[in-house]
Amino acid sequence: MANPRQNTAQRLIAGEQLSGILGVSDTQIQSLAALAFQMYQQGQMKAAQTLFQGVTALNDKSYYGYAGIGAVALAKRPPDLATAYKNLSKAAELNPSDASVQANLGEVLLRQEKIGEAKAHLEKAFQLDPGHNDPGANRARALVGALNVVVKEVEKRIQSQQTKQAKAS
Amino acid sequence: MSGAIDSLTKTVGDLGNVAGDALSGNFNKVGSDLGKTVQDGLPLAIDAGVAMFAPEALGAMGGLGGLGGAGGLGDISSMLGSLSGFGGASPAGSLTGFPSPFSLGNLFPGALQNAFSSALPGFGTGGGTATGAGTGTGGESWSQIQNDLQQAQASGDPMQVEQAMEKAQQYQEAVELKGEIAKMQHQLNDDLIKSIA
Repeated sequence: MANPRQNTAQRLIAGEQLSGILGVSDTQIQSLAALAFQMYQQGQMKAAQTLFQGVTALNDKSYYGYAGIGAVALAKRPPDLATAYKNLSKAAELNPSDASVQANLGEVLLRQEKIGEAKAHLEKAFQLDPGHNDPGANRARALVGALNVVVKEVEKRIQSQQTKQAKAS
Repeated sequence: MSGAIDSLTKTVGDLGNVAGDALSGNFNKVGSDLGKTVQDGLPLAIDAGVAMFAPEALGAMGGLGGLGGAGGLGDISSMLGSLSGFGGASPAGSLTGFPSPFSLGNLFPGALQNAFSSALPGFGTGGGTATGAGTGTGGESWSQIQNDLQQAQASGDPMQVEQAMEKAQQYQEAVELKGEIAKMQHQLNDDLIKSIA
């Protein structure tokens, strides 16, 4: 007679999801993701990360876990951009229509100075949230708006520098 | 660029706090926080932006070479120009220092409000409330599982015995998981009480 644990391992190796083996439904997985979300919002990053990892362990096709792990990595100071990129890319691949995931991926790429790629994801985030209701997309809008202020200020300083140089010569 | 965005993120987060204070009627704090945010956050971001996008403008290198190259000011300006059509003001209350993990609209209704009770319903409640995938232990009581195991052993069929044992194993794993979540819930409650006290 096979050991039940060995049997579980064989089923996992055969491609079955742990959620199916344990009898955990999609609704329950979403509830775990919601729990993790609440912990994350309360700043309990370690607990949130554990739960997000649990979500991916239960079902590696569920994008919530990857999205959460990516957000935790991005929220670190300094951010863990490699982990954030890896997980957010996977989340975006599994669900391309989540505005927050697209916005976070855009921010990671912006921080990595991959401007073209960042633009594509930020644009998608804004398109997915035309009503400005999504907190993730709104955060990205605020960052882009603030970056605009920075760039205008930089341009102003450059012009001023050029004027000074022209006068000096 | 990372330095500029770090400073901007902090500024955006601080603005979120200001908005939160305004919404909660704490207007005295709004005035001082807003002043501090604008005074501290934005200039830091601008300095970091200048240093990153145009070190020449600070007189460090002389000349204006490099602008418009990969990752330079030209690329950023171009990106901002094409994104401006999608931008616009964000509701101030939605700005936070932390990125939002995912859009809550994709969760089933009520998931956030009833997360604990929805996460693991039905285990050990005596049956009949299975909400699981239909393949596991959802809703089955321990006594039912024990009964199945005894019947399987009595039948002498190794397959039945194996299935019954597997079910018992799943049940135990589910109970352990539920226990872990209960511990986290207690910890969360304790932390909340401490933060209020």
